This record gives sequence, C-alpha cells and structure tokens, in this order.
Amino acid sequence: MRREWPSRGRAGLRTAATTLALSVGLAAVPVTAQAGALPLPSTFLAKKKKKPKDGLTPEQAAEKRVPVQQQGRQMVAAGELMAATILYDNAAQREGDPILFMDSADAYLEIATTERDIAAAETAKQRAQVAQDILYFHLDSTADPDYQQVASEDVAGLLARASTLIDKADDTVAEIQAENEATVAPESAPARKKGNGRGLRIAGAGLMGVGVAGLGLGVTGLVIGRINQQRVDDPGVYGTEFDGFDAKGRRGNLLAGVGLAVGGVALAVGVTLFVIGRKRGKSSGGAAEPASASAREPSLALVPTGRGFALTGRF
Amino acid sequence: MSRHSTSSRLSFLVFAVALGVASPATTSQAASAFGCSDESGLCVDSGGASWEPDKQSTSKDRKKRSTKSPGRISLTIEGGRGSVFLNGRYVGTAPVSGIEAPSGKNDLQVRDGTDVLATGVLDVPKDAGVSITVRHD
Repeated sequence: MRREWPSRGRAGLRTAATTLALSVGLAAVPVTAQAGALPLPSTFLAKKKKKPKDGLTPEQAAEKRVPVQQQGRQMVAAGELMAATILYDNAAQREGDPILFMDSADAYLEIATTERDIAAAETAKQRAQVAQDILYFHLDSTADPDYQQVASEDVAGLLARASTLIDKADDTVAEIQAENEATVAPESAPARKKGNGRGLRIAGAGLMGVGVAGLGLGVTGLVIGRINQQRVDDPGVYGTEFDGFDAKGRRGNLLAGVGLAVGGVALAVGVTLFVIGRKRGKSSGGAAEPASASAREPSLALVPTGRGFALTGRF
Repeated sequence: MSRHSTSSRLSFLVFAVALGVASPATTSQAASAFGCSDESGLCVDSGGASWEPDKQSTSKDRKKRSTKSPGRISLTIEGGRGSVFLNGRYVGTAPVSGIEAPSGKNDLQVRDGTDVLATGVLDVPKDAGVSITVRHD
C-alpha cells in the first residue's frame, strides 16, 4: 500500500491557513481581553504595564478643574462672590487641587476688598497657604508620582501666585485695620476735651458760694430769732410791742430754717462737684492746667466787703 | 512711706520667687500633660498606632496595606497650622478628623509651607481610631 504524502501544493495551503488562524487569534487578543469573554493566558497581561486604579495626571486634573472654574467665574461676574467661594472650596477640598484653593483665595480677597472685611482677607490667606502646602509637597519625595494635580514644570509659577495672594491678603488686612482706626479716632477726640473738669469746678465753686451765703443767712436768722425770743420773754414787753418782736422772731426762725437747709445742701453739692472737677482735670492731662505753679493752686477766700462778706476764688 | 513700700515690694518679690521655686514639678507636669514633647514633633495620643519618624514605606509595605478594615486618623497641631498628606496625597488642613487610612504602614507628612512639621511611617492597626498631636515649633 502506498502512503500518499500530501502534495506540496496542499501543504502550502495548510501552512497558510495555520498562519492566518494564528494572526487572527493574536489580533483579537485586545478585543477579547477588553470584553473579558475569554480567559487569557497570564503571560499576555503580565508584560503589559498596569495603570494605577486611582491615579491622576495633570491633564485629567485640568479636565475636572475647568468646569468648576467656568462656573465660578460666572458667579464672580454675577457678583455672587460667597457662592463662588463655596463652589471653589468644596471642589478644592474634594480634589486636593492647589489651583482651586487659589481661585477660592481670589474670591475671598475680592469680598475683603469690596466689603472691607478683615475675616475674608484672613480666609483668603489661609486658602493660599493650603495651596502652598500642596505645591511644596508636590516637590517632596514622598508625593505619589501617579497622582499629580499639576505638572512639575508649573509648580514654580503657581508658588509665586500663592505667595502674591498671601502678600495681598496681608496688605488688605493692614489697610482695613488702618481705616478702622482712623474712623474711631475722631470720635474719641471730643471726649478728651469734655474731660478737663473746668465746668464742674466752676459750678462747684458757685454752689459752694451759695451754700456759704445760705448758711450765713441761716445763722443771721438764728441770731434774730434768739434776740427777739429774749425780748418776748421779757415780762415788761407786752401789747403791740410784744406782737412786733414776736413777728420778727418768727421771720428770724424762718430765715434760719431756709438758710441753713438751702446753704447746707448747696455747700455739700458744691464741694462734691468741685472735687470731681479737680479729679477730672488731673486725669485729662496738663493741657487744661495753667502754666505757673501759683496759678495751678486753687484758692478760695472769704473777703469782708462794705455790706458783709464775699466769697472769691481761683480755680 | 517710700521705705515701707519698698519693703512690701521686696517681701512680695520674695513670696513670688518662693512660689516659683516651690512649684517647678507642677509646672513641668502641666506642660507634659498638654504638649507633645517627642523629638520627631509627632505624638500618637491613642489608637495603638506606632510612629517611625523620617522613614518611608517600602513597596512591600504598600502591598500589605489593607482597606478591608481601615483605621481612622484624627490630627491636631499645637501652636500653628499645617496640611496633612497621607500616602502621598493631600487629605486636609489641620485639625482633621475621621481620615480613613488603610491598616498597615502609611506614609504621613504634616507641613506648613516649606516647613515639614513631621514625616515618617505610621503603622495603623485594623479598625483603630488613631489620635495624633503634632507640635509646630
């Protein structure tokens, strides 16, 4: 029996068919691997570099950032600054994105400038500082190389932006503080003028004068009353003469009562006002005080005049 | 009069000095109770985590990390500010609380701008609530 070897032409056809089958199989590898329908030999996947599950490239970070920035800019243009800060803050915190932290700082700084708000300026500084932390960490060896919010070549420029924001925030705080101090100062100036106590001293001296006069009147009334009492008590005095002395005595008593009461109160109030005025004058400083030492000493004197006594003084 | 006031001032001073001398132990105890005195600038207050300063996790450590029963980190900074970075990523600005960390060895860094306040490896036990204080010098 003769064994028939395949002819050369048929063998060539078989070889071509095998080659075609292999090439089709190889070409289909990525498709089947993606679909996951067929189990593949591990050698095919092992050599392929595994992409990190939750990695981030600067381009991917920018894709996430741009819509937030667009929305934020629209809010800022519409004057909704606080809403813009909330938008930027939430996205920045979620992504750990230094650029969004700086966008938030910009919005806070705008609020601080327009509303003269120190707290907003301080918050702007805090946001810029966080951006600075993230950017410096980006340069550190412990940073995740598969998770990059920004490209390494952009870090220097972004750090400069953060630094400028911090300086601006500090300047804004200083400006607003200076403005606040300037508006408070004119209000306190008149209060100083009020406090030299000169008016109180004058009023006190006047009342002391009234008090002394009243007391003098009271003492006079007492003397009149006493004299007329003695006359009335005299058994030789009677009739109209008695009535006259009696009336004078009553007037003297009335004079004594009114004079002593009014004089006493006026003297007490006067002394009080004078003492307060003196204290206020001392505490207000030397501006209101006279220059010479003798003039600085207040003097009070009871001077005899043609019609009695006069109270004189220098304060 | 002036002699009297001088002597009373002197006695007050002696009294104050005596008080100061008598209570150094109390003062240092109070400082250690409230402050972090570790040289690395980081103190683990609770949670059973261990801290290795100035170390970095190896690829073996990273493989061993498990998110199945993660720990939670709370961190505060004494005397200043700073941002917290865990396993190479920003997680928040101090004070932070409830930051999820895989059990195992984690890279932790706390920094304020260019100043690195603490950096090293924090070994977090499973399901642990770790409380940390960082000193800002």
